[in-house]
Amino acid sequence: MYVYFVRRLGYMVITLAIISVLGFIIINLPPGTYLDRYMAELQAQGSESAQEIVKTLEQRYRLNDPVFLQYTRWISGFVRGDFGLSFMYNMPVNQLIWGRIGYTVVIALATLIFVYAVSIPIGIYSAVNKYTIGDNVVTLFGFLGLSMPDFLLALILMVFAATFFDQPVGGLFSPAFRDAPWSLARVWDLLSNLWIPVVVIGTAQTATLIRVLRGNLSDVLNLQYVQTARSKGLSERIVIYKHAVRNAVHPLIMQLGMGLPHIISSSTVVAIVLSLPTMGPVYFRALRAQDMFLAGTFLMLMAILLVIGNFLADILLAIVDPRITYE
Amino acid sequence: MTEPNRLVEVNDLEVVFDTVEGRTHAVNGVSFSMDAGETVGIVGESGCGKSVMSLAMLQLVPRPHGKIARGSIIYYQRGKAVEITKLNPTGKAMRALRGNEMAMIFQEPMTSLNPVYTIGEQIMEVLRLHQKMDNTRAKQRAIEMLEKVGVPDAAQRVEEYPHQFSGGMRQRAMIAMALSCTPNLLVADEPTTALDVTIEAQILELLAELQRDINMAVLFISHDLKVIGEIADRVIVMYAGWVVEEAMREDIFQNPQHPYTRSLLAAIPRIGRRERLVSIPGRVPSLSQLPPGCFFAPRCPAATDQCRREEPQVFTVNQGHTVKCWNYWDKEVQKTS
Ligand SMILES: Nc1ncnc2c1ncn2[C@@H]1O[C@H](COP(=O)(O)OP(=O)(O)O)[C@@H](O)[C@H]1O
Ligand code: SF4
Ligand SMILES: [Mg+2]
Repeated sequence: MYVYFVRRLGYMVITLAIISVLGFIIINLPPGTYLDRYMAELQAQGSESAQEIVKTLEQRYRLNDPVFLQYTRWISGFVRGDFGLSFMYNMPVNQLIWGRIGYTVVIALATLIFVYAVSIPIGIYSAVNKYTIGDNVVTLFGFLGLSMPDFLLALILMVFAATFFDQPVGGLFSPAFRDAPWSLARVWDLLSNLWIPVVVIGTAQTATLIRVLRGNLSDVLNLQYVQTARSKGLSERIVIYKHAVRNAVHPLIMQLGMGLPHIISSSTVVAIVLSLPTMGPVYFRALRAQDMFLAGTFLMLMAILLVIGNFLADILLAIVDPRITYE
Repeated sequence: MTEPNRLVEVNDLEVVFDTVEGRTHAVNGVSFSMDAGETVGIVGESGCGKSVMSLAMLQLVPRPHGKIARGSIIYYQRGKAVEITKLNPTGKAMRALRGNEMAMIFQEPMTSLNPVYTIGEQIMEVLRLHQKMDNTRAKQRAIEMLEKVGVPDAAQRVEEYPHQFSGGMRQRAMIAMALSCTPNLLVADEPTTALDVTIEAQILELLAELQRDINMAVLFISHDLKVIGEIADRVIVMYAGWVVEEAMREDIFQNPQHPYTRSLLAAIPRIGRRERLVSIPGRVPSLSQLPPGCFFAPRCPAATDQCRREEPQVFTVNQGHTVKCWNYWDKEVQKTS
């Protein structure tokens, strides 16, 4: 088992290295660089010294070096926690992202909890009461949630919240707290505003997981060992939760491994609509502007979350199912 | 008047499944009884309602589609009659019997144990539930039971998972689990069908031995009359949800009356027998579209117009030997007139 973990960690590092190379190449792929665009902008504004400004920048960031050299410089900084400079904001990527990462992780974790807390009980209910009215209602809402675009749901909920709860439209804080220092009241304000993005971002995934669990669990409920459990005189509750559900959660655990990065990247549109201070919108702008160190850093952080998530999911899977061996 | 030794009585039991394709009659008015310690075999081709019948014994007919539509099952709990078909299938009273006084083992040893719990845990679970044992005692008892059914290194293997057991060992573990509360009735639905012949013989021997030890009645279900002949005191022949013949083992083998029983006998391979095996032509009719009259008529060499029109009555051949066939009646009438 120990050997397994070490080897697994090795694979993780290799995976991340490959992702970093590919990511860097792809970010540099579109014709032109940030500086070309910047120069065009300066010239359009009629700046006389456009050439010189760009030259200095070019020298400062050594952007004329071959891509390979630039990559090595960036990645060796990255592992030491120096993520390079953002051209767009003209400040270290480091300073730019930590705050946003904080909010992003809070929203992502809250969404993850929401998704699982809602989908597991409903999925179980649906599988156990297949084709009843309750199940059909769940299925109907599931398809609605799956087919409604996030931005539309976001707009609907915003109107709803503004009308019925008198809540501010967009953002994570009420106006009174927006620039206030951290306090218990501010945390509370954050929590009371969090539900809109959480519901919007989580709905589609919740609907998917309900479907997956319903299908999987109703298969398991037909298996022989569930009948065996009943024949032992166990109560229906124990038959379902102890003997059936435990055998039906594999895809949910695997999904958990991919959950965080998926939530973060898919929430970009929502973050723009709801003007959330998260990573998504900045990543989006950085990609468009070819702000390569900023974009590269986001990409890498996402990849790290993905790899760690999968690692944890694998461990959890091995705990839940003894047939999965550490090979 | 009931026998003092009576354990179970099944009266005119009908089990149906209502699905989108219509109503399936899996068990059509089955009656029989069992005494304490007795082994009764139910034999019939696959699809004739044996598994449904055996599940019904413990009120385990798969819901929501399946239900007991008619008839009753009475279980004599220390001499007192309990009509279990009146109990709520998921209620406390029924669950107190299951696994405790009536236990069940199934055909597929590969899938009848839960893959994510240890063998020990699955045995201990029953003991904690019915015998109120704590973990330490339950574990001791689980090891004891595994030793009793012939699992080597039981103290270690109790911690193993089903996938670490072979098919035969799993069926032994299953038996250990079913017998851990010393039930009065064991329902065994094709417990050896998935095993090879050597292991089958071992398991049959083990079952017979354990049964003697605790004076347990066994309802043994198989599609194989040869296996039934090795273990059962009394044999019930089922066809399309009917009991078509019932008799002591010797009578079934030496004096079979129903054409279906005869064809089952003719299909048993025998060492040294020269003639070709006769397999039964045709198939079990679909239980959702049963023919009028005798269900066996389409395949019966002796079928008459009456057979195709009227459901055969049950005739008594001699004490304890009954047959549901017009042909028997015809012969008897001819003899006496
Ligand atoms: N869960 C179920 N749903 C619907 N029909 C069923 C179900 N289980 C059994 N049946 C019906 O009952 C009939 C008898 O099945 P079964 O008792 O398993 O036969 P056997 O054990 O003798 O091979 C089958 O033909 C099938 O149509
Ligand atoms: S009743 Fe008629 S058809 Fe049915 S088994 Fe007897 S002889 Fe054959
Ligand atoms: Mg069967």
